[in-house]
Amino acid sequence: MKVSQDAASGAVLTAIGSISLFVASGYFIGTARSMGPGYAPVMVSGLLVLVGIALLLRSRFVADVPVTGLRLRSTVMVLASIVVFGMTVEGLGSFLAVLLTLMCSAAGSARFRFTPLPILGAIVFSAACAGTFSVLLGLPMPVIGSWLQPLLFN
Amino acid sequence: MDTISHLVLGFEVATSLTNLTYCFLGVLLGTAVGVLPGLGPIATISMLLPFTYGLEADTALIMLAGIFYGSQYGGSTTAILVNLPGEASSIVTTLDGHAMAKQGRAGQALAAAAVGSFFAGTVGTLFISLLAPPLAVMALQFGPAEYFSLILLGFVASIVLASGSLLRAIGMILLGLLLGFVGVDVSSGAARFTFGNINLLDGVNFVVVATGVFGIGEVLASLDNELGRPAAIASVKSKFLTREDWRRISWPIVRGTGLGAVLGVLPGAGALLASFSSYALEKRISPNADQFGHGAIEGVAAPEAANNASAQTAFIPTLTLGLPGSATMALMLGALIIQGIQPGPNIISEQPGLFWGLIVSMWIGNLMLLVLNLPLVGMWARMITIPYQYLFPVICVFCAIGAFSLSNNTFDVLAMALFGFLGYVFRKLHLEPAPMLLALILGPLMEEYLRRAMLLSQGDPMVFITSPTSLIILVAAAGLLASVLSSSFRKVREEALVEED
Repeated sequence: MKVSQDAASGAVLTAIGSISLFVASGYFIGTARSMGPGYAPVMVSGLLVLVGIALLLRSRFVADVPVTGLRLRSTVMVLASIVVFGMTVEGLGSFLAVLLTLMCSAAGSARFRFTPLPILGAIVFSAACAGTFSVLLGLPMPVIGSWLQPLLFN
Repeated sequence: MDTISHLVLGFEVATSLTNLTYCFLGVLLGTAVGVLPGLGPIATISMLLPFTYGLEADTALIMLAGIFYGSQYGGSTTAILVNLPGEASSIVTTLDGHAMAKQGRAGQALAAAAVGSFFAGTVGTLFISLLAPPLAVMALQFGPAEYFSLILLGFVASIVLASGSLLRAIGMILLGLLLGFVGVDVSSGAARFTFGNINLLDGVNFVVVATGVFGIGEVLASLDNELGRPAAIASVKSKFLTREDWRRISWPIVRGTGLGAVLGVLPGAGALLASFSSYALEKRISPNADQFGHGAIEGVAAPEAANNASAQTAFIPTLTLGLPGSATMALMLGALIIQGIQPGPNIISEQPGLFWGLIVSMWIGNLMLLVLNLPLVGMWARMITIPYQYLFPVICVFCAIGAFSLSNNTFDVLAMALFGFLGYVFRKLHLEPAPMLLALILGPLMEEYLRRAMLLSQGDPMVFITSPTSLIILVAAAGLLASVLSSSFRKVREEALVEED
């Protein structure tokens, strides 16, 4: 089955609008003169639902481009590489976290091959990053992280 | 005269060794990201924003501004040589620029673009220095109703300029506003949409959203068709403009500059509108109208001048009103706020060194760009050929480091991954994310102005119409919206925006 872009965006916007309308209706609304925390969110969510429904209606009557599928391999690998960075930067340190992020995201490409030259490049780049950000700019991410320090300095 | 003493002060600030260095770094980086398709100024500025915390405010702004207008330059190089707009605003340049390249006149197209941009940058700088002070004085009279209407005008303009359906663009504005509600409400202290997560109490950080949606989201979208045929790059022979070329481009450059400078001031209008309306104007009045689309040099020079002029004057509303017109300008505003400087009518009197230093640095930066772009075009052309499989992992790393260093917090990195996924989905659904980012940054301000306006008017919504300034702004917004619905403008808009992905 082909879903048109209008139908899909309409469904997404209606869903987000409805959920936030539900959440916002729990906040104090107030009056136009003295607006509570819920006033603007209820208005905006309500409008979003209307826009979403309008898109859904339009998709019934106007032909539109169908949505193409997400590319699984690159999506998973690239997003995983970011998550890996977030989880390891403090534990493993900036050098290894950058290296892992590079390798993981690169594996999302259909052209990815394990060849020595790009790997060497990745190692050099990770070292340069660690040097620039951890040492030179002094960002609070250690070159060697907290998980590894006991192993090295014991 | 005041203007002269201000510009002298600006020169002193802008020519300090540190500021010159960062200005150079900014335009260099800007040209690079402008040249590389798939990495835009929004992603770059938001990635680098956290690293400017340690710099002085003027230095940070000078560098970030350099990235912004440098990317406009770089974008035209890719547009001419490869027929790919490196930047949205160089879409128009592909029409005649690439046609010229196919005729072996790539060098002349690049030269025309560079000359036009430099002239426009110079005039734009003067324009800011003359117009910003009186506008700031005027802005002091603005109350909450006027500010609210101005933000609304900005939203309308960004909806009009978004590619594709208006309805979807409106949806993205509303989505951005919703994201802006997340966190503690300033007037009541109530936590909204935080779902009990303490990391959300301060709201959704716009840098996380921008790097996610524009950095990672763009990477994912580009990987979709990574096995496509690599683009052919036109070679550059002579770059010298003939006497005939000069004669043909002089007036179009002047007209493009004027149009761009004026349109740049309008909130939300920006470089895109400037470049395509200037192209449309030249096509209408040029004696060589029949050559447009087939390599008319006017069709390169005028829109390039217009987009550069508007890139400069877009700083006027951002700095003097504190109201950015585009997502990129919103990031600049964010950078100022991070530095502890509140942009607004008082910025010129309170931070004269910063304000005039930034303006003069833009002129110096334009001069650097002329040198960087014309003789070194071969180097940039080679950069276009860097295979994407080496480029995108590096983008991922910079986005991750940028998000982490916001507050040394894993949560921000994970949130960025989520927004990266959303950015990919938005592109799949043809939902343009720039209006969302603008709304996210301006939304909290807008709510505050709405509250204050309604409080002052005792809940009477007529206040937006009874204030003459606010009425004029709202009429302008309505006119803009109506113009889209008219068929002729719609045609131009579709022509200009069709290739924007």
